[in-house]
Amino acid sequence: MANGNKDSKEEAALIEYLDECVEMLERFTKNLSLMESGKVSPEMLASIYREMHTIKGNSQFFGFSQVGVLAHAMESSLDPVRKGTAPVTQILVDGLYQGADVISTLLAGIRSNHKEPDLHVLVGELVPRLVDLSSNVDQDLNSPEHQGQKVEPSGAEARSTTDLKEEVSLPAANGNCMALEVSLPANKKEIELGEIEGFVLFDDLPDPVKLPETPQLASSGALESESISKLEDVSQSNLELTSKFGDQSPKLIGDEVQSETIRVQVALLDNLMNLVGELVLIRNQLLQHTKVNDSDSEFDKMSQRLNILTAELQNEVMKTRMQPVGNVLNKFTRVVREMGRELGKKIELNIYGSETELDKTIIEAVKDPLTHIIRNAVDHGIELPADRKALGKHDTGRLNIKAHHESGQVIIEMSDDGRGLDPKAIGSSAVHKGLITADALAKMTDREIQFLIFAPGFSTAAAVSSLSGRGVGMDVVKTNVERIGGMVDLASRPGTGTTIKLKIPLTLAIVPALIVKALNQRFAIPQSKLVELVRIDRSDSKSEKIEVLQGSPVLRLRGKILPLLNLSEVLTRKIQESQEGQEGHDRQQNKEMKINPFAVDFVNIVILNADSFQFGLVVDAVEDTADIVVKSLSSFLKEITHFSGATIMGDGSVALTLDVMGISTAVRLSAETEAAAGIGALGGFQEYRGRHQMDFSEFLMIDVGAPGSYVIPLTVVSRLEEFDVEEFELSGEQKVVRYRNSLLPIFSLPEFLHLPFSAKPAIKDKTPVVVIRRGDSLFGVEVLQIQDVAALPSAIDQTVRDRPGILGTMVADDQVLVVVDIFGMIDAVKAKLAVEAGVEAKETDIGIGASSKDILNKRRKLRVLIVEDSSFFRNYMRQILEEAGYLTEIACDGIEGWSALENAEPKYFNLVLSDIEMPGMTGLELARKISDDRKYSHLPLVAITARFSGSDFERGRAAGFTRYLEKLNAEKLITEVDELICQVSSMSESRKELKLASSN
Amino acid sequence: MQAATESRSDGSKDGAKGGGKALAESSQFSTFYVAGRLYGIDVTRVQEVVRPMHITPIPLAPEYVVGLINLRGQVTTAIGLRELFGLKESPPDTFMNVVCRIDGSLISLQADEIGDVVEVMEKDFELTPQTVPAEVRQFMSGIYKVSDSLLSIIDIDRIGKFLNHKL
Repeated sequence: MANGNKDSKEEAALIEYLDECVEMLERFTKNLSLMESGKVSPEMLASIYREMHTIKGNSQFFGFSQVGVLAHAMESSLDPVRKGTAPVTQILVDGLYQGADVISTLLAGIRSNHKEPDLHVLVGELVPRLVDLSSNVDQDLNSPEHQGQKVEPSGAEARSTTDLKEEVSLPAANGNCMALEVSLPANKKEIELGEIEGFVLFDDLPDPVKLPETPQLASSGALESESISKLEDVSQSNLELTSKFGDQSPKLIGDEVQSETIRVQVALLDNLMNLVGELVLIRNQLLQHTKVNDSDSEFDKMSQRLNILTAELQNEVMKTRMQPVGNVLNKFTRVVREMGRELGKKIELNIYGSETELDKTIIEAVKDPLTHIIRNAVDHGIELPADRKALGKHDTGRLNIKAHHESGQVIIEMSDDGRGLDPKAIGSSAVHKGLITADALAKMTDREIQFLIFAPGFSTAAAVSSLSGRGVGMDVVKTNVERIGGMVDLASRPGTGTTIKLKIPLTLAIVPALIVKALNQRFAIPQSKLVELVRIDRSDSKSEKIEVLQGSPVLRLRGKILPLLNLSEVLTRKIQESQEGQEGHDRQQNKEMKINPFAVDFVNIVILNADSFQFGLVVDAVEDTADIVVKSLSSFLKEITHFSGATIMGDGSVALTLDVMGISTAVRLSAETEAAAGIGALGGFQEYRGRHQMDFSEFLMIDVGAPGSYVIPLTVVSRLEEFDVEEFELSGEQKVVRYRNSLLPIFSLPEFLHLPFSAKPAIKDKTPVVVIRRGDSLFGVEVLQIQDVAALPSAIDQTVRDRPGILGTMVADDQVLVVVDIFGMIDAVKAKLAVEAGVEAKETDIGIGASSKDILNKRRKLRVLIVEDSSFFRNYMRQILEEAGYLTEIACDGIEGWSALENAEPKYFNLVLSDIEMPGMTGLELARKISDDRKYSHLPLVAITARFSGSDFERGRAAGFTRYLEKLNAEKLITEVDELICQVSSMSESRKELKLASSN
Repeated sequence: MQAATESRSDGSKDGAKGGGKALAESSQFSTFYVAGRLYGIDVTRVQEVVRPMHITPIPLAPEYVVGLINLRGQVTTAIGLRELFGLKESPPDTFMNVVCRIDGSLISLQADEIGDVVEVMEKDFELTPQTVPAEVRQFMSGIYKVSDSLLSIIDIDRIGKFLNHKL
């Protein structure tokens, strides 16, 4: 049963492929005729070109090499014209026409017997001509040799026919009779079945320009008898078909195909859909009417019946347009397999969620983009098995495609564990191609640079292969997806892989929604984004409270801090010009939002889920729930990201639907590239939510002179000092203090965070300074007062981190504490210092310290697995280690850690850093598991924990941990890791050693 | 539907096709008034003219995007011509909708009052005088001298371009 299913799926995919190719060919020839008549426009050329590109790609997926080769050649021949380096010539147009004819003949053959008929003769004759056209643009006009040999403008057709005639005695039997029929009707009689053997051989001929008869025939003995009989069948059936082909009858498809389905114009379904929509509205009005005038029971009955029928009709019409996304995705199994074989790569493709249903038009629209992405991943992303092994990866590359519904959208995610996108290569290529200037490049983040792959005309591949890489691909991906109102997201880490996420709207799907009111207007919020509704009674002191944190209101809901937005305010605020947002000036945007005036006693808050975090939206009123049909807005309104579309309400008025993600990004709530952190050997995005470990760390509580409580993790603090006011000096604009024979740069938290001062700090004789050590450098943080050292649960909530310099918040004893990102701040200050002093800042980098390139290079080959459930510490350690040059991968509990180990080669990881207290599998269990397994005997295990005592240590050692490390101690971490796997005893000694080595 | 439509375009389409092709030097324009000024749009581009309808405003949208209209189940974006043309004269309470299809999306241009479908001769065509304020001129393809006044011709494709580029 499953088998039959699969067959029919493949069959359906094939039919779809054929239909699509035929459609594209029709468009292609139509455009070609326009081109011939001199109406050439760049858009048209681009469309012709893309059409061929797609035909090529699809055909290669299905393994129809002749179509593929021919389409590739046609595409190539168009390339110079598209680039404007060559004029449209008659030769070119003729060649393209012929190519299109051959392709359609091939397609017809495939349709009738699922096998590419053998037209290698024709293909082989055409391809070199077309290729010539593309490569010899410059000379072809003044090189008579070439013309004479390869392209005879008028005689080309005749020539190919004569060639064919010579060879017809050979190929005639190979099941391609209808092709011969078309081009050589006179030779029909020569078609004989006796010479079948000669044919299969042509199948893999790369470039059969000439067909010497002897060598092929000689090897024909290898042919299996089975296939001969098959061929016989095939050619027989073809013979029967030939007559039909002759008069271009549309019935060629064969009887078995045309029975169950008919093809309907999508526009017709659209109209149907709209009409049903109107019917529903009238129905609603009618029902309302009957409710009021309920005297006529007969009328009442009829309207009820109408009601039910309308609902059913609506449902059915909706279904006509829905298709499982698997229709497209399943095609890729074959594509990937074949491409992998061709490229000599081992690839495992996993498809999840292929049953996810999607509107037909949308499936059509995403088909090409998906194809391009998959091809790119296989061609450029995944490395050759040997290269992968050398990198310590499993030699089989993994490619995952996941599709699922998420809040009224379909998410299709494709991730590979290949080489990732190298920002440097992309950047220089983009500059080289003139897509951006070097200046602009310098200002871009890696992520922005990676996004350049979507720019028109971009392609990093040094050589154009037949599989991908002509620079049309990713451009098409983006335009196609955006045309249907979707979004393309990209996350890639060089060396570990790339994930591309398509967010596709379900424009026609009925979405259950909550109707809310703000600005005296109704808005619809998709239910899927909705977490809960909270109503706050301000007169009731026991109810949840709205607090103000750094000027922004937050809601403390069951101990969790949620940022709050007021819908009315969000919707009246001017759209911020984000053009210059590149530079990170965002922080300047003061988003002081007030929920006042709280003239009302009740506040309605809708708690919404935006991807990885939640926030509360204050609305004027919550009305009702309703099933809505989301209609897209005019393209020029797409800029307003707050809305995903509009819907028509029961009373006929229009309501806008809110885009929850759009709103949160518009007000910059979300943590920027949450997604980028999640890629690794574990494949794809991983979301770590609300899994915080309940262990305690020590924090220094400081008064910075601004409202709110701020804390710094104690482990990063080196010393606490007090300086006299006179001791402060200015070096340039930087405040400094002489300290231990050197200058200690001093910075102030409120200044850095752009916090409003509640009161000007009183001038005192002594200013307390927190001295932070980072690597070899010291930095001072000027504070108003050092309050206390407290042991706090290190469950850091990273939801509210609205500006750089803040790691997150913690709740302790009903008090909200802001955790300061000291290192982030130091980075910023350091960058500033470096600019001012004109010195390279690199020297002071942690870990890299004074170490030479040797150590760095050594570290770059070593991979550390970080197992830690608290996302804060996980990212922290990852950052520290990666800064030092180590490769890292992360897992958020023991189970994941173990599977990461198991899924990789035994020597893939060089060290495991693990937390002890974790949900699921604890660090101790993990350590026992690892040390029980002999293949990991080389692997040092290091426990990282907030606090430990002697007995902890003993238990850890028994479980297999070699060392215990304190959390957040960056310097120690690097030193220990170096010691364990980099064979360097300590930083200072390594320096000596290196000095010695270099002096020798 | 309650909002009865005056399907002007339907009635005049035949005339436009027959007359336009045969004579070649005459064309038909659907006219309307904005702030007392007479404007015309190629009659073949006007889908229909609809009575004032309920408009749902779009927060954060530019001033000239007045809101959304439910046109028999189709969501139509209403564009305020006064705002677009920079005409500040006191607006009426309600607007007529001149519905056109621009770049595949339905756009309703908000006019004060609807005029007749006017047939004009090519010889009466003039380029837009430079004195016309730039705000309006950028949407005009020219003017026609008609019996009692001047008819400013609006090129809705330019409006479409403006909407998409500006935003």
